[in-house]
Amino acid sequence: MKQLFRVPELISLHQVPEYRAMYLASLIGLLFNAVMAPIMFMLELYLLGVWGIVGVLLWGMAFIANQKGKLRWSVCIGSFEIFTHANAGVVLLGTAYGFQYFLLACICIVAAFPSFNRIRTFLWCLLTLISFLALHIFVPEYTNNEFLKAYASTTFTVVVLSVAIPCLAALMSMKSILIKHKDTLSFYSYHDGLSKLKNRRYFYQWIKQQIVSAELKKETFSFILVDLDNFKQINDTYGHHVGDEVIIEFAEFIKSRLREIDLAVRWGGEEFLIVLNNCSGAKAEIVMYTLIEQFAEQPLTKHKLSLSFSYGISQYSPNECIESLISVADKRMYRNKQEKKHFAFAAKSV
Amino acid sequence: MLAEFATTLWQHDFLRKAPQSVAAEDQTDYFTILWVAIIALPIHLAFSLLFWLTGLNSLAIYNLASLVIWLSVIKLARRARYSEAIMLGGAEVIIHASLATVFLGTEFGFQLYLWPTACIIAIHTQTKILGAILFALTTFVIFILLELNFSQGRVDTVFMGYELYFYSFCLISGGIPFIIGMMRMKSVYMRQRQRVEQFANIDQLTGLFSRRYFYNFLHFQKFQSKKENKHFAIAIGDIDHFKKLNDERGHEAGDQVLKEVSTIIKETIGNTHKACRWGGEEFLIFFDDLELKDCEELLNSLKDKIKAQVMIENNGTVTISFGVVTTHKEFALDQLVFQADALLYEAKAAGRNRVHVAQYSGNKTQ
Repeated sequence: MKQLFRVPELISLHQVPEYRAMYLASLIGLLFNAVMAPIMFMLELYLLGVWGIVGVLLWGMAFIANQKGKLRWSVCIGSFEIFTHANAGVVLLGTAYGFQYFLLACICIVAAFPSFNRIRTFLWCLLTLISFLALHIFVPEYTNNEFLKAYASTTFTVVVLSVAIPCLAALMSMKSILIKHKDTLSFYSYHDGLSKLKNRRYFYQWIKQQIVSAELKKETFSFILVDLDNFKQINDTYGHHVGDEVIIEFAEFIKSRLREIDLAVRWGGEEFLIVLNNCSGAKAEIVMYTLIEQFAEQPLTKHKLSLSFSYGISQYSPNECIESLISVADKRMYRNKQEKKHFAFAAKSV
Repeated sequence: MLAEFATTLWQHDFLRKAPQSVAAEDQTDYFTILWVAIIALPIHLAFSLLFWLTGLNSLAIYNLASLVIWLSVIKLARRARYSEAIMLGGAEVIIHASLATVFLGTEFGFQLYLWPTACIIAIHTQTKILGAILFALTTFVIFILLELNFSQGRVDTVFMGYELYFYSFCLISGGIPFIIGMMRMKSVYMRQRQRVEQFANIDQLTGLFSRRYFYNFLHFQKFQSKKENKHFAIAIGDIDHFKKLNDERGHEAGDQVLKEVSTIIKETIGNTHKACRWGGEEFLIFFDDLELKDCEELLNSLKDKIKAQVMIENNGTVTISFGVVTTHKEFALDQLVFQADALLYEAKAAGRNRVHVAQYSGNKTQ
């Protein structure tokens, strides 16, 4: 019993939303038909009663197909059931009860369902649309059954709402996935996937506005190029995955120490670029000095490694090229690294 | 003359170029709104004339008003306020369709426009979720009220007797854009999903699968193999002396070698088997339903190909070593990888450029 509430293992991750949608749809279909079939028998509409039982069976099949990971089959069976049942309902009772609107929901869901071929989807939807029109043209408002006639407007309201609400729910869930994907994509195009810092592409767009606003406000700003010392040795001694974690933790360290108006970019493998807004080179020197001290005091927590980094600073002045400023910072960083030469990182035992 | 005028109009910047306020990723949305509005303009103008000529003055005036509304929709879209633009356009369609139904009756089918409008507003990513739900639900309620209360028209028109034509026109002209709109959302969804997966699952440098993806993949395969009573093999490969290469020739040469090796791996194993970049210069290859002997053969040819084809400047060759393990009925994934790693180590110790194979033996403590 518990298995019915869990997503089966064989559904791959990206199919989960579709699986959930069909899971819900087939349960609603089962329930709806199971309720309608006895009512139809009571009203002596035997044909529709039998159709209701067939509907229960078909939705059961759709449910099982869905559980077994055959999502396309599930959607095919489900839409076939809606198509035949709605047509039969309208032909036998008349158009006044609104059963034909199930066809519109069917169109909506089949057209939006991800794993279908484009031409077949279009043809199937067109066929459904045409059958909707044919029902309107050829079937009178009330075919028979005087008893039901009194409840026509109630039935109409219930039917249209029970079509519209699940249909809307399905569309909204698809929409929220679309929005989530859009956010993820825009995140990845401006951020580095590992460190979650901004990437170079973002930097080059951002810096244009930064220059304009700095010149307007008559302010200056500084570039700092930071490079972790002995990073290669970490990778070789402890493996790449420890190296990755070091990058992540270092990025968090930098980000937590910067102001909102500053920017930290992952420049390359273990290189980071920091832009300190409204900050001269001399001030930046002080900032970096404290950062180095703080970093030495607070070793990276996860692997108890104590690391150090080197940096080089260059200050922006009007009409200077960004590339050359960064290369100046790079050269200074390299010189600092050479001078320091304390290539010692030690793993503190736990 | 007329054709010339039409082509200049067609190639006018207004239709072809988005204003600067439109961001690159919103271009499709902008042009969709623009074109819908542009198509709506002449239709409303024509209807306005038609209704005026047939004496339905109030409908004619409303058609003129909707001209203004659609112009403001264009204006809003040009200012990058898509949500408002879509909502305004949707509201126009709904009010217009409702008015037409109230005047002419449901037999003319104008109320059918409410369905596609509600659905498209609901699913469009530029509209806000709560607003879209409320909007769509209201639309459906209006639809029910129209259907139940206005089956008879309020006015007599010359159109009496042609109801069915109007109904078919409304259904088709509302239905086909509806289907196309839904299918377009679907294709956007598929494309996005592919790109998101690519970011998450593909290693940027080599184009092979990433480690994270492969771990999930192996778990899935373990489950599958148990169910279908198959077995599979994994091989871990490591480029020999890669560290030396990196130090001597720089990272760029190292990256180039990684790329070339990955390409050869991809070409050799084809579509049935899969490979990922397991670590820096380590690769993990998954062989589906392959005997140990065939595995060894395939890897030996792969190893020889790499030696023959991948060159570093100043005639250095690149070699690779492999450790291969095939699975039994019962196995632990971590043990499997561990054993393959141990075999790889053996191969390295035995002189590199070798393939060492074994059956899964399990129970080895680390």
